[in-house]
Amino acid sequence: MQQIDFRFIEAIKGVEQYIVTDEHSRIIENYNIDRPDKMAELVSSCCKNFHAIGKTNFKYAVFKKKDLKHFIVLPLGEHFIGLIKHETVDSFTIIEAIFDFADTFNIRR
Amino acid sequence: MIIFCEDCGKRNNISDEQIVKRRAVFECSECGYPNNFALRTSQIPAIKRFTDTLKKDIAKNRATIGAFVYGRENCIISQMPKTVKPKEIDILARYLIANYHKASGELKSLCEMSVTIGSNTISLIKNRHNFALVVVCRKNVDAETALGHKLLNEFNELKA
Repeated sequence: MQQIDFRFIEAIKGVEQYIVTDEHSRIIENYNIDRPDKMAELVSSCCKNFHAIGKTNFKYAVFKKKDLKHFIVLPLGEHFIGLIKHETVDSFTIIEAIFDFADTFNIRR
Repeated sequence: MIIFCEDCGKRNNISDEQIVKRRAVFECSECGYPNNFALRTSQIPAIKRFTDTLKKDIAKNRATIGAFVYGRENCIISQMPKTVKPKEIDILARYLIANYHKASGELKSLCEMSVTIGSNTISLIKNRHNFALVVVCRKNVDAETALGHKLLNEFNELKA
């Protein structure tokens, strides 16, 4: 399995909290996420279900909230990322930053 | 709305007042037969109006591939391309709704979920009457952009 230093996510402007899990909902990295066990389970189950719908074409999912602190989930390599964005930052800007990182280091997304 | 008499089959143009608790209650203008029968969900005036508007919106917006409304257990409005089979809509709806429910248990004030698969985005919005609107768009367009506030507000009030 490819080793990824997920702390790069902290440096992306607009990321307030994030969690990284594996397919068994095990927490690989947690940055400020409340109730990490529950959120890890949510992230991995959503990613697996969306994979079931879209096969390898699943790119990302955005759970939009009224307070604009949307929750974004996406697969990266063998892992799943769940993050909460700041209300003033566009979701797609953050997603693109993660995709740019993945492309730079040749990580499957 | 147009409803056919159960006895003679004559077209009758009935008003919203002649729909009582999801039943068409009217005397046939041709034979006088006292009709009183349950309407299909798709025949309920509010749902029919929403379907018509949705159909027009999809036709004029090239970013929208299709949309459907799912009730508690089945699809009640479908404006999806004919190549998508009802069973596929059913499976997609169940997966999306299950995920939405799971997420709404953990995330406060959740109002929409959008999933990007390839270059298409599938958005799901639930209203307070337990209807789920699923919109499939091209090029990362979400439901709000595709359908606009007016139609989404109409959906929020939609009930059987």
